[in-house]
Amino acid sequence: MRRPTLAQQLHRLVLTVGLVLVACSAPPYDEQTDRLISALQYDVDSQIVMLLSLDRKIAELATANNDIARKALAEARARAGYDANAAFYDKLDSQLTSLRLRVDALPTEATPNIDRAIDDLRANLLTGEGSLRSVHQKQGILGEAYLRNERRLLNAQFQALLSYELVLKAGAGIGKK
Amino acid sequence: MAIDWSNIGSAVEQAVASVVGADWAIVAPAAKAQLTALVEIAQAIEAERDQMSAAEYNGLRLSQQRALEGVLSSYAAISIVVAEQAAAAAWNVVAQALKTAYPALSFL
Repeated sequence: MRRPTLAQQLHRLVLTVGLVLVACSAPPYDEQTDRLISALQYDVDSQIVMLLSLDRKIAELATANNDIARKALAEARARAGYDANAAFYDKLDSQLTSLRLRVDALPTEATPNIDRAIDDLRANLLTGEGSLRSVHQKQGILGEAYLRNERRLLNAQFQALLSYELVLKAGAGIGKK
Repeated sequence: MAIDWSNIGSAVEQAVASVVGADWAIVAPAAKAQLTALVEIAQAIEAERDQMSAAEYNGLRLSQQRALEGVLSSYAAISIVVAEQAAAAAWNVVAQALKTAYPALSFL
């Protein structure tokens, strides 16, 4: 029997977590919450894709030996560095706060689980040890291998939240915690 | 020498089950996908070990552990402390495998 791919495994995980998040009560579907999660996911993914693209450009230009290429290399390095991207992390902070406020505005029995999922996401993006921001700050320029794997991990977390919203939209309520 | 990952998955599951105890049967269906994802990330780390810094390795390790903790602690029977211990035990198995295969790897 073929082993499931990582994408398949993550998909299953996401569905499971989505169902667990719905938990013992089914709060009403909130379009604004859905939009906030989607916007946050898009912003994070776009930023990682931009950083990956800059990494490739830096690698291409690394062996350059003329002034134009050296200037382009310096510019790419500056754009990939933490300082040039600090405003992005500040924006994420605000987006995560808006999302949590929106979710907490109408508390249900499922709210603590959703709050925890948002807090885990915040920890992995901004505040936790080894978060995307802290690694970026420590290292200056993030490596391609790290970015690819971090992108995969973060998108799995977003998918769990989006699955939760989709389950609510479908009007389902599944009991557990 | 490359790591034989075929046995690592079951060793990771055993490590988590021994921390979680009797509640493992309840949480296993949801957690198994996360455990597989953890092992796959570890495989990616092995494949790209020469392009990864200590900070990046630790970032991936901690993100993965938090993701597993999130799945485990969403079940009423499992406390956050137990979830953290189980996630650490899971990563310890893959870290040991990496250390054994690549003792000179600086970030382990």
